[in-house]
Amino acid sequence: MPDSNASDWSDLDLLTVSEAVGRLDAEIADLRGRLGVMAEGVEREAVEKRLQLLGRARENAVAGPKIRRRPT
Amino acid sequence: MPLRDHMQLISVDDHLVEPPHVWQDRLPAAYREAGPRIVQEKTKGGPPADVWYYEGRRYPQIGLNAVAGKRPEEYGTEPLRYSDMIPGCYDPEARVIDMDLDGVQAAICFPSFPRFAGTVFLQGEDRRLALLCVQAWNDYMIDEWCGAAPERFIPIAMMPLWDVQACVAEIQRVAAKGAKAITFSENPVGLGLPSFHSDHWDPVFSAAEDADLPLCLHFGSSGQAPTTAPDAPFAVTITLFGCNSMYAAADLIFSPVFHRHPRLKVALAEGGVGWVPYLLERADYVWDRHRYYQNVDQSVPPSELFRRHIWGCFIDDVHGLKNRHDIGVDRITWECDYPHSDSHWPASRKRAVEVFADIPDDEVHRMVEWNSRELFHFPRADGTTRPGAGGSGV
Repeated sequence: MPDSNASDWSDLDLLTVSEAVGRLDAEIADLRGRLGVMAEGVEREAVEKRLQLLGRARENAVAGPKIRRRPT
Repeated sequence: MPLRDHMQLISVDDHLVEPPHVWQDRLPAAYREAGPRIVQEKTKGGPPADVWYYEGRRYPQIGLNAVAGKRPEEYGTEPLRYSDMIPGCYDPEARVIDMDLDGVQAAICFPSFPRFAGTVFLQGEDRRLALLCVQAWNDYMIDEWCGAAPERFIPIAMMPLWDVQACVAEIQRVAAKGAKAITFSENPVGLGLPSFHSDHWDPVFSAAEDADLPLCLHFGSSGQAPTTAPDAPFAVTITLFGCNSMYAAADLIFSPVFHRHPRLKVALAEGGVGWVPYLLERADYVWDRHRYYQNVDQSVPPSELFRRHIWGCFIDDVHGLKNRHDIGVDRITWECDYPHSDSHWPASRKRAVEVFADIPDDEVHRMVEWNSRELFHFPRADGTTRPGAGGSGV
């Protein structure tokens, strides 16, 4: 019988908000650096689009949970 | 340029964290108090912790590992509440944004609080409630989680493992609702259930065959972790975790399962694939010399059974890719493992470009997309499930 204090997760930690924001910030900084030396064109547009997505994900991460704690 | 833009990454091993309403929205009123619910508990000096309660039992991990392998003084550095998690863990719309960012098109998401194969409900004292809980999770997975983005999530269902006939009925029910896979324990013996070598599971496997639903065996779903010594550092266990997938594969290919169920498909979730050539070489060697005096099938070598029935997956596996032709390119799938910190999010696609750098295009496309689409019958939006089948997927 499984132990209620045990977990299948064992070594598999979840990404915390702080860890995720750290990863996003690193990616954003990297892309901004690349953007500074990129000419206009399709590749630049792709980087700009990715920067937008990264920013949105960062906002979601720090905004706090949008969970419903009561049944409908 | 092996990973081309038109190749869509399909992850066969991601995870979701159940939000508080999964069971409270779906259980009959009389069962809501006993059914899984989140209770906010006071903590010393911090915000309340979110803790699951089920039939009065307390489950301190809401889908994440608070303590395993860590010293008590390290407790508290891990998330204990939803606010510590990124929303993509528990919100399917936020998950899709995170997948877009990661360059991942679609994913199978395993359970968290119920454990990877729903084995928490084996603890249920009220079997009627336990069955309703299994069905509620499956309905949440199919209707709400996957329903939020049907082209992005591959529905997987858990089973009421304590009752074979109930499993059969649930397979038929979820198949009719659109499930594409079943999450099953890598080794039921670890849960106090009969082994793959018994005939106990035959009706379940027959039902899975009839519905053409692969069994996904996530490592750790037996509740057993590989250990060596009580005082060994946890790094030993982490390093050996893939052995659970090896054990499951060896167990199955020496069992009667695939002989009795020639259409059964098994997908090993996590554990990599680099070990496959060695294991099959060894298994065939053993079969060749030792099958005569044991209850082992005499007609088909275990390696052949593996190649007919078992798929593996990987995140990073240099040896696995080097040996892909020995494993079978059509038996390898890709995984992301979001939202574990093991994943490369938000750079999984970038990492995949590096991993597949020296692999021919057609093989990369098989491993990252087509093998999974074929295995789980999960076509692209244009209906294609395999290369060369028309549409824009080739």
